[in-house]
Amino acid sequence: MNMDTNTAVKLARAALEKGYHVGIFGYGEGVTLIKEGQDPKRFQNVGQEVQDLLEKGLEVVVCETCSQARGLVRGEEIKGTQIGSLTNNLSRFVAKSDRMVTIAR
Amino acid sequence: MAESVLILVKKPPYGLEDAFSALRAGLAVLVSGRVPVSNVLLIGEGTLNAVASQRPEAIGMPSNMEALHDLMDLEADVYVVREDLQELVGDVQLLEGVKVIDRERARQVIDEHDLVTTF
Amino acid sequence: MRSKLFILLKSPHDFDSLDLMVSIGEGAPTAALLFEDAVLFAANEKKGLELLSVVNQVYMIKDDWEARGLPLVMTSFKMIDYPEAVDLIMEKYEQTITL
Repeated sequence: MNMDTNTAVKLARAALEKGYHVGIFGYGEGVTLIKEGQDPKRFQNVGQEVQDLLEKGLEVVVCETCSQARGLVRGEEIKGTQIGSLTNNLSRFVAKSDRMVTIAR
Repeated sequence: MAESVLILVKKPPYGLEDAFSALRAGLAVLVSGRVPVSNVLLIGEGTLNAVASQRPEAIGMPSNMEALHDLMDLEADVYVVREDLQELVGDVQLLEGVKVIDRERARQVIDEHDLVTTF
Repeated sequence: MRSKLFILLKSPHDFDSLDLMVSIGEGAPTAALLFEDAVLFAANEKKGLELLSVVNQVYMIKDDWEARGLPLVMTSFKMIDYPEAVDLIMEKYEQTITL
């Protein structure tokens, strides 16, 4: 576990609160962001944070191929998030974006 | 609204999935038809993804060469920074069709794109 | 040349893209924005000065810095919060490049 998803979500919150439309695309290890039932005990619960931000208009999509590789299947995602594809979803995010921020080491 | 995206690849092939994922992302954006320009810049150890004599089957990995070929088939530009490759491994043969450039040109390439994502 | 905001997440020890930042940033207004372990640049004079020599301005996320409890060496680094980071990304700089 690294803190990249925490950082992404904090940045998303700040942008949403300023009135921007924000989409997060989870790629590679980033797909774990949408897994329902996250329970990191002492660490911040990023899943919970995502749930809150969905109500503020955040869009979250993760890569299906990366999810399958990690055994994450449809039905296990937080309600309101989506397991989608690079071609359908990432491309739409890219086309609609004024800025793209990559949070990955 | 973005008209162009540059996939900047710093990671070498096969130790991590990153370089492969990078190229697939670039390809998908192009295939979608939503973004007219999706190019790739291989920089630092990322330049090793363009080496012609790769044999990923030796470790059962998907081929980054194929991914690069697919991109070039769809008329994406694949740039490789000459100095970086030279410094790492000297003179090696690269995949046909890649554009070998210097750092100065790489700077311009980055500047020409609306969005840049790094792998 | 479009103005460029470099996003850094790795600690100075793991960061290997200083020369890349120099070549990409040449001729453009530039800044670095430090998140997570990248804030450690602010605790080390040698690393901090190296970073400051290749960009016009260095910003770092206050929370990430405070969490680590270190003495601040690079006093010229500007401490900011997430809303200010959004302003840098969306308004002040034209390109955002993670290195």
